[in-house]
Formats: sequence, C-alpha cells, structure tokens
Amino acid sequence: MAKQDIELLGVFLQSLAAACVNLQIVAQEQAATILSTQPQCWYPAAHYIDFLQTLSKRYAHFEPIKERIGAEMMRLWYQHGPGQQIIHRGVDFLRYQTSSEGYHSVVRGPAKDIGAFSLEEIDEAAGRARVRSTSPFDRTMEKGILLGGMSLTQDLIYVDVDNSVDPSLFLIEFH
Amino acid sequence: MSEVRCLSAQEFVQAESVSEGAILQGRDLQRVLWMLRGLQKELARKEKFWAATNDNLASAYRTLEERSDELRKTREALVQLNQSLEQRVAAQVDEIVQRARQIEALNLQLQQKVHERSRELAMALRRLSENRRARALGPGDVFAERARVRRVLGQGGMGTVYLCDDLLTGQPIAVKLMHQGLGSDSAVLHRFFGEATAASAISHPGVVKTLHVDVTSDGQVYQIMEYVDGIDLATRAQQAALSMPACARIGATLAAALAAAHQKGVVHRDLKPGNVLLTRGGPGVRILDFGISKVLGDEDGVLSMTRTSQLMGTPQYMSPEQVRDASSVTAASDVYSLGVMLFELICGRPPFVGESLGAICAAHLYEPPPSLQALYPQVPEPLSIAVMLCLEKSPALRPTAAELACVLSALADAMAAPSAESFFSTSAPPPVLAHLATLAQ
Repeated sequence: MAKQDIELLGVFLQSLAAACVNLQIVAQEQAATILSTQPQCWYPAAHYIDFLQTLSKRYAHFEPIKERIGAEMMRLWYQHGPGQQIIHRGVDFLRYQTSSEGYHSVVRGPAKDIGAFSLEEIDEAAGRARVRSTSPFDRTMEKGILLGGMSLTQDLIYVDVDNSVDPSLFLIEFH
Repeated sequence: MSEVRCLSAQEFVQAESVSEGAILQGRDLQRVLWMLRGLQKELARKEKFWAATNDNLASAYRTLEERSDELRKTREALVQLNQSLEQRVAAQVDEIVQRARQIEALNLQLQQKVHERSRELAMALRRLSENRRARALGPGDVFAERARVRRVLGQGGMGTVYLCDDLLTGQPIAVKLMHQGLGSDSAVLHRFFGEATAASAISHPGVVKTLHVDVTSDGQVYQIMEYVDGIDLATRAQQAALSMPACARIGATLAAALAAAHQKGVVHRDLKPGNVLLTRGGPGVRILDFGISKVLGDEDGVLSMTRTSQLMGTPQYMSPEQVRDASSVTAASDVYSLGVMLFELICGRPPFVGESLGAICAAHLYEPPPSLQALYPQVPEPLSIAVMLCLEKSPALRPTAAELACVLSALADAMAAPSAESFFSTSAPPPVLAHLATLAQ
C-alpha cells in the first residue's frame, strides 16, 4: 500500500487508540501519541498501520481482537464523534456506506490508493445487504466496523456479517 | 388446565418468569428467535475475543514465570559467585599477609647475620692490622694471587697505586692498595664496598672502570682498576698550556662522563685535575676515583679537618654547598668543580686563591668569581658564559652535566677542536701564552 499518500482523519485514529485502551489491549501511555492527534486534522495512514503492526506482534491470535477493535471504534465514533447526528437506526449505518460516503469521511487520498468501502445492495424487508471493500485496510477490522456500526442504535436484534467466501465482500444479515 | 396466554416478544424478554400457559407465536416468536440468535452470535464473538486475550495473557504469564525463574537462577548464581570470590580474595589476602610476615622475619634474620658478620670481619681485620705492619710491594711481588707488581704508579692520601699484570688475563691493571687501618672500621668498609659497587655500574668510556674491590686475607682493602696509559691533567697543564678548543673539548668529554655517572646516582665529590687523566686512546679524557671520597667521611660524608688536608688535597675545587655542609653534596657540586677546572685551564689560575684553607672556603661561599672574560679576553664568549654558569653559588642555577656536555661539545665543534686524545701528547705544543701559570699543586 502506498501509505504515504493516504491520510486518515484524527477522530478515526483517536477512536482506534481509545478502543485499544478501553479493551485493555494497550496501556494509555502506549497509545499516547495517537490519542494526542487533533480530531479534525488529517494524518498519514502510517500512524494506523504502524500501531496495528505493533499490536499484532503481541498476540498469537489477533483476528478476534481486530474485529472487536473495529466494533469498539464505531461505539466511540457514535458516542464522542459525529455518529449521533448521522445514524438514528442500525440500517442508517449501512446506507451511510452508499458510494463510500462513510469511508471517505475519514479516509482521503488518491482514488486508486484509497479504494472504496461501498454499500452495493440492501433489502430492508428481507434483512440482507452487501458491502464491497477495495480499501487497503484490514478486512477483519472492517467486519468489526460493520458489526459495531449497525449495533450503535440497538434497534436491531440480530446482526451478522459474513465474508468467509470472499473477504472483500461482506454479506450482512440483520433483523 | 392453565390459561393460554400469548406473550409479545417484549414481554417475553422483560419477564422474570413465564407462566406455564404462556406462548409465543407468529412475529413475536420469530422476533424472540432472532434475538436469541443475535445474542448467541454476539456471545460467540466475545468468547473468541476473550479466548484470544486470555491466550495472550497466559502466554505472557508463562514468559513472566520463565523470566522470573531465569532471574532467580541468575541471582542465585551471582550470590554464589560473589561468595566464592570473597572467599578467594580472603584466602589470597591471608596468604599475602603470611608471606609478608615470613619475608619480614627472613629479612630481620638476614640483617642480623650481616651485622654479625660485619662485626666479625671488622674485628678480624683489626686484629690482623694490629699484628701486622703494612709493607710496600715491590716489582715481582704477587698480590692477592691475582696480580704481579711491575712498579709503583703513584701514591696519595688513600693508598698506593701499582701497575700490575693480571695473572688471569695477562693484561695490565692498576691496583690501589688502601692504607692500613681503613679496613678496621666496619662502617667505612660498608660504605667502601657500597660505593665501589655503585661506581662499577657506571659504564662510560670517560670513567676509569673498577674491575674488582676486595679485602685480602690479611685485611688489606684493595681496588683493581683498568690500567689507563695517561697523564693526569694537572701534570699535563704544567707541561704546556691548552688551547681554547682543547679546553672546550676536554670539558665536553669530562661533562659527558660526569653525566653518565650522575645518571647512575653516583657523585664524584672530589673532581680535580689530579683525578682526571688524559690518555692516548679514546675518548682521551678519563675520570678516576668516583665516590671514593664519600667512603672517607662519616655516614653523611663529612670529613674531619685533619683528614681533609691529608686526604682530599686542596679545597680550590670544592662547591659552596660542600664547604658549608658535606652531606649536601649533589651532582651540581661536580659541575661546580668542573667549572673551577675549566676556569683554571683557560686562564691559568683557579677562580679563588688564598693564603689559607679558610680564606679559600670563604671565597667559595661569599665572593663572586672573577670575570673570566676580564682575566682572559681571548676566551670565546659562549665558553666564558658556560664556565661562569658552572660557578653559580646556587646549585639550582648551574647547568646539569648533560647540558654542559652538549654546550661544550657544540663549542668545540665550532672551534674545530680535535678529539681529546690528541691533547695527551705535548709533542706539537700550541703557542706559549703570555700569562701561563702553573697549576696548583
């Protein structure tokens, strides 16, 4: 990934660091650098990548933890960020991913480098949706973001995200 | 039969208990079903998360235990090593202390034995000297089973010097037989052998080498030296005056020999023309009798006045500090004596002359030396300066013998002076100088 061209919004990095601290994966002082970022400033994606790489070396099984971090990040984005102004129902989070709107609100850079995270299809009545990712970021964490994002308003009683067939294609079931 | 009651999904979830007849159906049943599945999924995800973190925690704990164990073992090993080191150090210290005590005891025993033997030797020599009268040796006499006498070379305050043939090597040697009575004083004997040993350590062609020092079976102390075919400087200067280049060259050679002796810690203490030989072979100038005068005094080298006049010759060459306190004689005193000799060689008279011993000694102490340039204007200024520096009252202001050797050697080279052995012969004397004076006897 050409990480030097990709930038992330400060609030996204802060939510990542805060999620790790809240889940007691790292101590506060270890995340201090990222926690000190300004929420409305843009920072190189290297901050995010280096931080995750450091964490991954400490855990033999890091996948479940990444998924949980993604979910916790959305909770913090909702409680302390702009989430409450945007999302009122769990399905709203999915619709917010239309044309990668949600993704582009926290990630910027050359289009060929940042890719997309976009809602392809949704059937509210059937409780099904499909999101495709061409981003350079981790798929397990993106799965966690979807799970967490849809559970923010607690109006959905069932949410499941499956990308076991194609890691870049998230099949979502919700009720 | 209990009453059948349909519950809503909400009621079902919120109820603490459900009555027997309660049922869920339709959409409510479906809703509760999805809720349970959702909870199941969430629980499964959390389970995986906690398993991953617990796994990591267990691994970290194991690592911590291993590291603690390693640390404990390392600490134990260090404590053991420390104890072992302390024991070894203590053992070595004990050994060293024991050895030091043994050495101290042996040293004391040795000192006692040396003291006893010295006393025995001195008593034996005293008895022998009381029973015997010293007799002069004549040509053909064999001395100490080592040397056959050819003739007498000279006689002085300390003893008689004979030219002999070494029975071992066949080479000519000079044997100085000390006056009878010297060997009866154990302190004198001790100093004599100490000084002879120190003097024999001087290895310089400008110093007449002492080959052997001993006591005969009948108690006579003798010194065997290399035989040097030469003429003493006093006699040579009386035969014909020496030129400025000659004085510089002789002075340089003498200073170099003195420097070699001073480097070995040996001070001559009685440098005078009578103790300097001009020789045929190199380096042309040789110094005799290093350190001997110290033997003749007490522990501090102080001579009684009666012995001084007999044994030391004239006081013209004594440094001020030597006049004041003989125990304060240093290498700088030799430099002063050399300065007096050079002054005399250049202008024909020593710097201080007087009618009595006391007058000469007082002059050394209090009077400035006369200007060499004034007495003999032809003397090159650098040579005059060098000589006058040697005559400074304060020893600290005089040059060292090594420094003087450098300066005089450069001056001699500048004056194209030949090597010192050319001055042995007077066959081609330099022009007679108008103010030539005889050297002091």
